[in-house]
Amino acid sequence: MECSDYQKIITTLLADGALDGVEKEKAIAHMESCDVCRQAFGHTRDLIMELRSFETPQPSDAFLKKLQDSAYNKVVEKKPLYRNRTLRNYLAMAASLILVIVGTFMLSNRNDITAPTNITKSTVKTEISATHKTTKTESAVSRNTGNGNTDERTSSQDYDYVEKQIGTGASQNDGGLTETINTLTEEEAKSLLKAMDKEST
Amino acid sequence: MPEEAELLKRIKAGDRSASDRLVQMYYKDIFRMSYRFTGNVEDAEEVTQQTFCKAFDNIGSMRGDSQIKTWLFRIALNENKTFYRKKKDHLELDPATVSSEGAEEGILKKVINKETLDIAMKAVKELPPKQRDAVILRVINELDYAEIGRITNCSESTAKVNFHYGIENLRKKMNKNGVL
Repeated sequence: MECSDYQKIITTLLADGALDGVEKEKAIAHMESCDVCRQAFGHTRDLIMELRSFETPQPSDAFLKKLQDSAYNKVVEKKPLYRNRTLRNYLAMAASLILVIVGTFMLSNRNDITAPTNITKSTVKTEISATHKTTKTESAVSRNTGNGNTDERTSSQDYDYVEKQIGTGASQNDGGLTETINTLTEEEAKSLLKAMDKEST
Repeated sequence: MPEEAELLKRIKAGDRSASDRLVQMYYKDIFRMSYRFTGNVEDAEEVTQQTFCKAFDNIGSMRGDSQIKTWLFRIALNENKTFYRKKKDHLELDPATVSSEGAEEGILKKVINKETLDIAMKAVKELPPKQRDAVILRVINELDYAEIGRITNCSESTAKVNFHYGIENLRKKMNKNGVL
């Protein structure tokens, strides 16, 4: 006769010492009439006893201390002021507000820098003569590129500087100034600089 | 349970003696379980450490209505599984279990014991995960089936069935290897 799964399971549980009451009585009654399950019971009990008899090393006291220290450190780490829910909510709101303000400020600055400017030969002249008497052509370039470079040069160096800026393509965001200057001939550039020198002195 | 809730409350309030107490209550159980999963002291200590770190990291979310023991064992089981995946030969046994100290008879006994343990643990390793977890939690940690069910997310009856098939498969494997 083939035993049912239930009978097999309760035999294992009996060997494990996990049965009591009616189930235990049922298992014992079944084993009395079933050689297969009785044999299985013996083997299972031996195996479980064998597995339980294997020694497990004991962790050291030093290990316990280490565990306790790291556990407590985690508790301390997790216990700053912001664990208070109300305070945490206020902090979150303040952080959001700061983000919005900073974001708005950065965006408005970005618009100033990237706003395209239609600069022509005449506007360069006008702008430079009106507002940048000391830094000359360089000021026009630096204002439009946004690099803020204010190195002082002699007027004779300015032409070289303009040439260098154009040659290296220093700005990708000059609102067309590079193209405008590129269209100047050497003579035109020199006369422009000369005119600006004159104005500044 | 009320004691555990009180313990949790004190830990959350930053009471050092309460966190020490919790570690002391369960570290041996977690270590023993991890030792059977990993097979050596060093790795078992590592997994035990990870278990407590994770537990205390999340202690704020632990509610007083569930058992700390079940919660810790569940974390430990997951940590052991993660470790198992990371490490190939996780069931290599600690050479320290075969000590050269003692009389010849003692050494022989230890060698036989070590060999049997080696085979048994390899056989446990080869069991399907649910059966393996049930066998380790029941035989090594001596947890009751209701606890095993809670830890492994199944019913008590399913835990019993898993244990039964785990033991049956283990017995077949060990018979095959001539150990039983």
